[in-house]
Amino acid sequence: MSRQAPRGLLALSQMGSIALNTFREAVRSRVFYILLAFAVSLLVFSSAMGFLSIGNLQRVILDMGLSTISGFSALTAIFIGIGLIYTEIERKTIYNILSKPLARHHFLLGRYAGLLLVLAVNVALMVLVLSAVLVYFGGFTPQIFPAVGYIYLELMILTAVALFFSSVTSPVVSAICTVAFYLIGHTSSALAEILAPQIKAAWAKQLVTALYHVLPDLGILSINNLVVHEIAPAPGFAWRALLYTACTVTLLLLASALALRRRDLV
Amino acid sequence: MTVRTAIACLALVALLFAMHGLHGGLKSLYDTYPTEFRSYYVPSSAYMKVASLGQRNFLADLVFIWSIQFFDMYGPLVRDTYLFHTYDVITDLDPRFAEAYVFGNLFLSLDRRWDLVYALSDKGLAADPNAWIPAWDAGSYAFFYARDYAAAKRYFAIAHERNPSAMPVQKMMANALKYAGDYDLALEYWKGILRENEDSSAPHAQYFVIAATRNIHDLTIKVDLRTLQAAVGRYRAERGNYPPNLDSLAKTGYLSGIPADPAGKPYLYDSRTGQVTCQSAFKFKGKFAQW
Repeated sequence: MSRQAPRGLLALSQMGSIALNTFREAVRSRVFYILLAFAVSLLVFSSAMGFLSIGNLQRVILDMGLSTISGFSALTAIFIGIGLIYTEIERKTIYNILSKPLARHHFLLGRYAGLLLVLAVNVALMVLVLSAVLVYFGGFTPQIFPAVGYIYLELMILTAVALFFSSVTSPVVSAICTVAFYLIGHTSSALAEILAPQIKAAWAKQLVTALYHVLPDLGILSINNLVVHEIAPAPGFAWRALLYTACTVTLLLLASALALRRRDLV
Repeated sequence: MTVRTAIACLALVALLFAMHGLHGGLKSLYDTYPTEFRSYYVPSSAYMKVASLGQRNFLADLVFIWSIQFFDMYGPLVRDTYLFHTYDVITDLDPRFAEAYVFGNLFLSLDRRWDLVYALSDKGLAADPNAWIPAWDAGSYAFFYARDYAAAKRYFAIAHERNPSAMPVQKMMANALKYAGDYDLALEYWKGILRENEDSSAPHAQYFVIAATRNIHDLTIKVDLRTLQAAVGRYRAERGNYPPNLDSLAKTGYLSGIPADPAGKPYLYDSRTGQVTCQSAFKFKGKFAQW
């Protein structure tokens, strides 16, 4: 027991170093700044969109702002996440890292934590801009913070997906697979909500419902559509969402760790 | 400058001119298309929900902005159908989009499609149990434009139930009841409006007092005339002739007493025709006094 604690601390310190390095690497990336610049421009532009509408300027800024944060942070997670492991292998820098007394799964967790840090900074900057725009136009509501919190939970899942695909395949295939996961995650609810009620055959309805339960549902974490109507999430929503995210992320990281362990990197 | 660079520059300039010319040609062809076919296609709600990738409110905002910019591009023959579809999609994406109901109803009212106005309003009322504006809007269109006083009564009753303190709603409810012929209930509403406003210092309270006083005056006459006329009718049906005077209705038990009009003058009665009339003039004149 006495030897386990320092080892744990060492692992934490190693993961911290890798996370910090990942963060530095990401913020030097042009993709990060291009996406951030687009997002900030869209957030500012949302006020112009609001003026095209009638009587709901604040609503347009809020809806467009939250959608921008959600969409662009997802793109950042995908485009930075897909290369996290593969580029290390391709550049052969991973051999240098793994030659040190560092477990592969700790390397993986470090990369994951680093990307989450990048996304936290990215989201925080966008929230700051959105809040400033909303304060200027008199539509600020503190409910944007929980909404962004739930967006971040979705990003945690998406990052884990990108990391998993990055551990098993090339960046191009990873990008396609992660984008597909994102699209499926945001459209799968239509199976239960729209398709199933239109099917008459009981077996087909059960098949569609079963498919819905198998496929990921990222939309279930979003409260963006409630914020503008000042509707609070239902009691018990927060801990269920946290647990759902934790379970999904754990599963994906375990699969990534397994995939990385099986690779011949020595 | 080498010959090759000069040729490249000339080619670039030629390309720019060609692009400009082609764009002009395309634009002139584009302008010949019928305007109503340019932009009215909005996919189904189910498709839009899926295509929104979870950002339904944002997509609803975009379709709403598009619709208010281009609603007049719809041809008059198809405008109502397509506008209803557009606002149906917007309110499917965000069922609590208050402005969509307001402007959807406004645009649909241009074609006098009251059935669609009522349908959109019903949807808004079902989507939000606290919303009263869709009922207020539908009631106003029914009352002022469609002259459908039964529908106006129904919608103002919903608006009043959801927002009991709004004085304009009470006033319109009382008016709808009056025009729908429900004089007794209309009288009760106006008496309630008078009670709430006569000692009030709220803005417009004096206006409501004046409106209530005039309506109570006219409705009292209407109610009295209707009661007296009904008693005369019953008297004749049972006895075969009109009563000799109004007092005989009280004496024979058809009425408990004979009222005077609000000015204190007795109602006039013609025993040959059985008609009861009022000496005092109605406060409301003109076309709208013919209720």
